Amino acid sequence: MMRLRIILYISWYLVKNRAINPFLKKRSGQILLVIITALLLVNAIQYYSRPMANKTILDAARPLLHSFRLNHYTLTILISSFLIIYTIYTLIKGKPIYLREEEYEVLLSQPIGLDEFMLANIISILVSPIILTPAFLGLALVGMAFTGDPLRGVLVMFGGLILLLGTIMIEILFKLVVRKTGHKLLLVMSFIALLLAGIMHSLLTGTYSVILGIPYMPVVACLVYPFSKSISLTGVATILLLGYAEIVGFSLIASVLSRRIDIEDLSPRAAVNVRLLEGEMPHIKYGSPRSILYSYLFTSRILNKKHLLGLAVLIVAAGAAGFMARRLMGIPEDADEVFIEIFVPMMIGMALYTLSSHVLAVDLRCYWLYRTYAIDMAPVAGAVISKLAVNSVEAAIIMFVGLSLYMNRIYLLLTIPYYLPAGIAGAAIQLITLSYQASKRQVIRETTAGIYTVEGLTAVLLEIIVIVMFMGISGLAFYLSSQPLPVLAIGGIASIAVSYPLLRFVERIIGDIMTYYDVLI
Amino acid sequence: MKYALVLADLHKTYPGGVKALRGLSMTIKEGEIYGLIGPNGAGKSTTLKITMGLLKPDKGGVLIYGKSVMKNRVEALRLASYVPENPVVFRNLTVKEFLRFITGLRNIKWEEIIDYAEHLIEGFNLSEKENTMLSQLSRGMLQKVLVTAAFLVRPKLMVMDEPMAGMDPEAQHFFKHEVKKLVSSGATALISSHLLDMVERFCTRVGIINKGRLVAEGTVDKIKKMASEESSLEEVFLRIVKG
Repeated sequence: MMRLRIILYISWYLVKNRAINPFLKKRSGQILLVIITALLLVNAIQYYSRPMANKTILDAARPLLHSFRLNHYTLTILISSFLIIYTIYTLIKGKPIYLREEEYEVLLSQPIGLDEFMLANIISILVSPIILTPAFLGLALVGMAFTGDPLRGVLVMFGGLILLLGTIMIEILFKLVVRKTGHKLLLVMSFIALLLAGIMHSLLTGTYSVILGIPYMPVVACLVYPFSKSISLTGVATILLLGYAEIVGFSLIASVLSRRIDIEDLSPRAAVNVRLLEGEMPHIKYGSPRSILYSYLFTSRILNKKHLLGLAVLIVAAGAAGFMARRLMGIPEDADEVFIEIFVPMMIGMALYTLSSHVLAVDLRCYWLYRTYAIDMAPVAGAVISKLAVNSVEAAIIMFVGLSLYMNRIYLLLTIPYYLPAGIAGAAIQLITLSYQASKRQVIRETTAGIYTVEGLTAVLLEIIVIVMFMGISGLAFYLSSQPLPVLAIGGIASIAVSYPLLRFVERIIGDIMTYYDVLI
Repeated sequence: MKYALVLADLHKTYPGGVKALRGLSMTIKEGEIYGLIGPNGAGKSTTLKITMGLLKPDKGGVLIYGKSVMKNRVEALRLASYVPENPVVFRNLTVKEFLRFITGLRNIKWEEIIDYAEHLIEGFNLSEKENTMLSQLSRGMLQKVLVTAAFLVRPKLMVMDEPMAGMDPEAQHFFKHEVKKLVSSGATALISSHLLDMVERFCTRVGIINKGRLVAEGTVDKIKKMASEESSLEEVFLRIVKG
């Protein structure tokens, strides 16, 4: 028999630990919160005190969206279909329900039922984001900037919250279903069948099939619909209520399923670390410190079967997506500008940022060991930068294979080498910042087994810096793509030629920086 | 004499095939301070985690004062407290918030235990850190907080995995004093440790675990006699473990 008082008591402390106290202890976060709130208020007053706002960003972007055959409905389905792919990936990976180590070791050794903990956990997830973070208030600002309406801005913010909650809850629910029924394969096959049926239906009808919106459409609509002026504010509010109702419904099912949960269904996050290191221990021959460090931190990470297979799958998927997009959306006139100058650099920048988190979690886990035993930190820096630079090029390959098939311009592939020196520079920025952050104790040790992450706001700033840099490089690629083919090819060869001296140059500088800073990791 | 803890024929194999426990059985009587020693990877932490319901044995069972941890988890764990091997805590709670949280889970009103809490906080030199976030404390300090929480709930069985790791000598002395006090008032302690000197002087009974099995058990004197009259626990331990 579950005890409601205990469930609410645990939820309160989980929310306090996860959301309230971390927010209150960050003064910068509070200042940002005050600034954004003030901005929202001022804009709301201005908006409602004048007859009508001028043209908004969304008004300007509408023709472009229409040229892609996108409206609020089709965009919702498109995003929902990406979430189905993510769900299939999660199910195939077969992750258990991860808990923070303290929740596992300290809380679960207390006299509370596992079902009580799960319900408390679900409630805390549902409630935590209500403690508004600067990021969500930023979303309100974005919503307002796009629609020109402060009230819609606030609805966008709540829509974002509901989408986040929905994806978390649906993921927990499916994990519980797999754990309780044991029919992982059946569930994976069902989702693949759903996706294929949706794609087939879309290809046959030449529009986005509603099948692709199952089961994410109600929560995705919460973020997309507030942007559309064709839907009244009351209509948007109804959509938000429906989205939240779906989450509550899924939460109730998850609560029922968690009644029979077993301790083995839960796992502390330290296990993630073990997973990350699975299959590590490459064969390393004796050699100079430089060659050993390079083979451990660079070659073994890039030239392993798992990595190469994943890359091949992503390239094929990107090609298929490009082909599909050409069939469904057609090619608008200004596609070059939109994709090459904005989409590609953003995606590569985000990929590099995500991978640099992996570097922090895995490659630099033994930072103390390198600092103690390595004669020189330059090879450590060089190997990590090389890995990230190659990852950037891989991200560029995936992007451009998709784009060249979408736009039927194969010569775009010739711009890929430009991303090698760009990747080296981007990785160098990441590594310098990481060393600096570590020296300032802005990295958080997530588990006792050694997973580190970078603190929130600084991490966001870091990502913006790298994305801006990639935008510059992509701008150059865009300019060169309009030049004759030999110019494009010479640019590519020059990029490769300049990469090696650039790498040696930055690895020396960063090696010194890494030695100089009193790094915590 | 009541049994505080009964571990019956515990088997545990981890995914990947590592056999941590191979039929481990042992009993601890009420009022004992039981020291569980063994080499790294012998199965000590697995035993303690199964005892606290954090892992499920493939076979076998655990009874805390006659209550099955597998079948009646909440009732069994109500009688026990646990100090994990690694000092993991709710990093964004203050020391005081954390202690209130843990005691509140057992319906213990803070006002009823405030004197005892202050005694423990003072004894472990935590007074100045009461309102400090746990994320800002050192490993030794965190260990003291976890031990304080384990004592505060007035358990009948204390299960502690390397409880003195990282503690300064003053805190170690206070820890031992408090364990003895609790035991004299009817509690029981199961302590896993690598500190053989401490176990020799502090525990009333010792169990040696190796490769997932209990290979020797008894009072410290009885275990020492397994080698010779003059042997230390360390010498006996090495002889047993190395065969």
